[in-house]
Amino acid sequence: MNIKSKLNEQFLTFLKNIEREIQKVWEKPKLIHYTDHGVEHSERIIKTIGDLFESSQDPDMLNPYETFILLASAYLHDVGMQSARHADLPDKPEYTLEDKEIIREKHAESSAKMILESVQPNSDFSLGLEGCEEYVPFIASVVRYHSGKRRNDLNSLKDSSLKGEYVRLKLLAALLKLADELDRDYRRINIKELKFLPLPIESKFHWWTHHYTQSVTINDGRIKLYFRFPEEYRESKIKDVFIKKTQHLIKEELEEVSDVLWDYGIRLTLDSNIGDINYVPKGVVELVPNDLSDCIEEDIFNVTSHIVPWALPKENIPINIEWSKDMVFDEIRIEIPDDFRFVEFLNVKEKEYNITGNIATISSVIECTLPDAPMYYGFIVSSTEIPDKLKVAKKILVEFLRGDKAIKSLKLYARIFRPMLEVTKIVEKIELHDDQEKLEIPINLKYIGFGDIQLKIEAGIGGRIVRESIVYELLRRLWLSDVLADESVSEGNEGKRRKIHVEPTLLQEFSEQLGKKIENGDIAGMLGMIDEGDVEDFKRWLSDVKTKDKFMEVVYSRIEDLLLDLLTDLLERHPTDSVKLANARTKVKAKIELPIENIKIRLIYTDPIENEYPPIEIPIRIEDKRVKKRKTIIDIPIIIEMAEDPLTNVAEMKMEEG
Amino acid sequence: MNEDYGQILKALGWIDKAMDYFRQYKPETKGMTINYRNRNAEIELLLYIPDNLKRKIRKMEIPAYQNFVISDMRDESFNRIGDLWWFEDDKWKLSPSNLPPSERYLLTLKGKLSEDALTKIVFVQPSANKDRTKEVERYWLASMIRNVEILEKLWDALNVDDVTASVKIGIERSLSSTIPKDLKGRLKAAQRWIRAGRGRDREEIGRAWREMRGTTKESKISVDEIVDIIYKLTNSEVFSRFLTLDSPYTVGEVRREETFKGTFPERMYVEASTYLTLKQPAATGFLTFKKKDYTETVKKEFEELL
Repeated sequence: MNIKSKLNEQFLTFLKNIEREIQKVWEKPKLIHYTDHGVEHSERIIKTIGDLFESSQDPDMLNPYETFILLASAYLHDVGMQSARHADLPDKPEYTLEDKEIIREKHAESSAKMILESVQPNSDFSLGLEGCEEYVPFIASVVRYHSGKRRNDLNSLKDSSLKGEYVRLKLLAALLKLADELDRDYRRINIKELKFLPLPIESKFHWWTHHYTQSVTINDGRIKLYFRFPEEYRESKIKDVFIKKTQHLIKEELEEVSDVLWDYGIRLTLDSNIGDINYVPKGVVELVPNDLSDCIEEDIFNVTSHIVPWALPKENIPINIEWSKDMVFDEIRIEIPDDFRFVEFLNVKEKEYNITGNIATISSVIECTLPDAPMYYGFIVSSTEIPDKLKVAKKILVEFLRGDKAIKSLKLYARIFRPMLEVTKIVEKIELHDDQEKLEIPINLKYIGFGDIQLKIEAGIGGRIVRESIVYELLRRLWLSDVLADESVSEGNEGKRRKIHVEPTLLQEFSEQLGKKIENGDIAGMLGMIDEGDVEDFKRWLSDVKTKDKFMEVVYSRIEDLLLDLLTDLLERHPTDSVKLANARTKVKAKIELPIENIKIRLIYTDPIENEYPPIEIPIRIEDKRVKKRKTIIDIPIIIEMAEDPLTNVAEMKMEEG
Repeated sequence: MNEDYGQILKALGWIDKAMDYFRQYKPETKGMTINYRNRNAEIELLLYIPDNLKRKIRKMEIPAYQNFVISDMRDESFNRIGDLWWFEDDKWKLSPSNLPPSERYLLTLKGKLSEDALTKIVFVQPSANKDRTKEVERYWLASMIRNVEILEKLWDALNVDDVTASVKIGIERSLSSTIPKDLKGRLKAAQRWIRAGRGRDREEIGRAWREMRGTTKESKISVDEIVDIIYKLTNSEVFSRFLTLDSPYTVGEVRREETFKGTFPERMYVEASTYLTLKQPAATGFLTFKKKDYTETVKKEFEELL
């Protein structure tokens, strides 16, 4: 569609004036760029805009004012590329590449400024806008938004009106912006100049996509891409990288303007099927320079990975890898240490991965089609053994393979830290005499590992292991202080009740737990603290509602003491920052009948994921030197003294692979 | 390992069924928000209901699978359409002939998702163990969308809000290491009573009991005052001040965790909350507990009691 044919004589004259002046600018440019911004570029934009309208529901949607503003913008949008002054750079005989990049970056704003300035009475240059001053602010607005920092901000551009007609600036800017981007075939750049310039690699990549684009066509709302590549790339994946990159750039551009265009019935999609690739001899089409070639296979794909900075043995270690959609590869290979296992893959279909021993290969990951969405996948691994060392770093190798070659390798380290407990002091032998009713066993321990542990202490004599619970302890304390037997204590307790708020369920829970233990005959822990006969009494107590209530009444009256007790228990159960005792107190109650008896103490510790570490076993010899009281039961409390020097700041800790 | 598409759809329960029902109206999903914490899901569907004879005679009836609700309906001009839907016999009903002139309608459905469905959509893991420095304790957090394809097939714009990783922060040492001397005297007496209780010497128990009673009388601080302080310092608002989270995580629910309700909390339950979208399918970061500051605050509170 020839959009110029929509203009009347007057507008055509205006446009010819602009075209004439802009021709002068580009015929003898002050600044040489490696991209074409001249009149030919503008003509191609105008043709593309015509093609876009042909794809719309209403090809005549623009009124004459809008048509003129849009066409004038097409001629003037890059004029800022010729002015260093408008990009705030000083006048110089020569401009460096950096200067030119600044000019490029600011050129949309510079063009707008120049358009406005050109019609000022004291202006020293003309852009052919004389006589059509009333359209100038609109042209400047459309131009300002086609590139640079405002390019993503179309919605801030407000529509306007002129002589009773709409001027839909947002639509005009969207059309110019898209048509400019679609003029992206090889004619747009001067490759002979470009290939020797020390441009940033991202810019090189961007411009080389133009060099390999043979043509962009628009038909029935479908944008189709045609490529040409050197013969050398016929079998190479490098062409796929450029095709993907070009598609990605166009998709991004489409995304930015699609809402605006959609509102006006211009519906566009990028055809995912490209036209036939034209392979041409080297010389007609250039090969990618080496630095770009290297980078295509490296950082340009923006591969990022994340592995958690520490883990316990056997803890699940999540790892995620992200990269840009431009990267083309055949498969991903993951190698984990022999003593690791794969737990799960995320964002990978089950049929797309294969595990053989400690190696997994992924043929493809699930792709999100949203243009800005990253490519990613995750995998979870865990170690299978508990290491002897406090800390180990194990290598996980992730490689993106193209053919046999790894185009990107990532070395990740799973850093495993374990808790560790050491015995620092023990007694080997303890003598027992007649005047003793209690035999204290002191053990000094030191915690030197990572994280928290729960320590269970078991002690056995003659094969019997004794453990206690807080419920028993509470019960026993009440029992032994004659609380239950002493009616006078429970009577008159009303006045003594404290104001502490206690959840009623607390008492209920105590009662239920006690009741259950007694009902189930789970009385091993209670024996030794109360007689078997007493247990029967207790069963009666708790089975009778009246006496049970009375018992609970007593518990309630003593609640302050119980809370105090729990606090004490809290202290006892947390001897250090890292160690929590499973039970506050451990002791053996035993009759020692042999002159020499061995008591075995087992220290079992677990981490928060229930890994049980090799227990520490301590045998202690008891020499019974009693003469009279040989048959009495004696208490053997185990007194733990804890110290700690744990691993800290492991996230920052330097570690060597091992 | 990965569930297949069908299984995940099935797990999505009412959404799958409602989508299936609306298929005849060519539904386009405009947005989907899942709140991971409360398992609420909200889905916006653009329906095409042509103004033809079928519309005049056919009533829309959708069984209210898993109690989902139709919370909003708008026409092409985005005007809210009044209460045209009604609930009857466990079904949502609409007589399309009552619809205002428009062919496209935006319908908002709300409902709950099962925990199973959430697990299939999102992977969440906090570190099992903490790293620490002199000042802080920290936990790593990792969350990820398990399968973007399934979610994208269903919804172009998906947000999973309030993806929460829960961490339990031990505070017992902050409390126990700062208990004032005065109270420690009481505790010592209590301990004597406790230790006496281990034996069968009722005289010793009696002595310990009296001593403990004595220290209670002399003490300037009562246990309930200590309890009050502990409760104050484990209040979620107060405790949250000692937490920091790396973006995109924020602090979610914070509460005490007690072995028995009403007793001293040993740990605080903290939820680190984030959001995931198709464009940000993974989130990693640290939850940091400023333990030194917290312990100092506890100490200061106890000192003020004296």
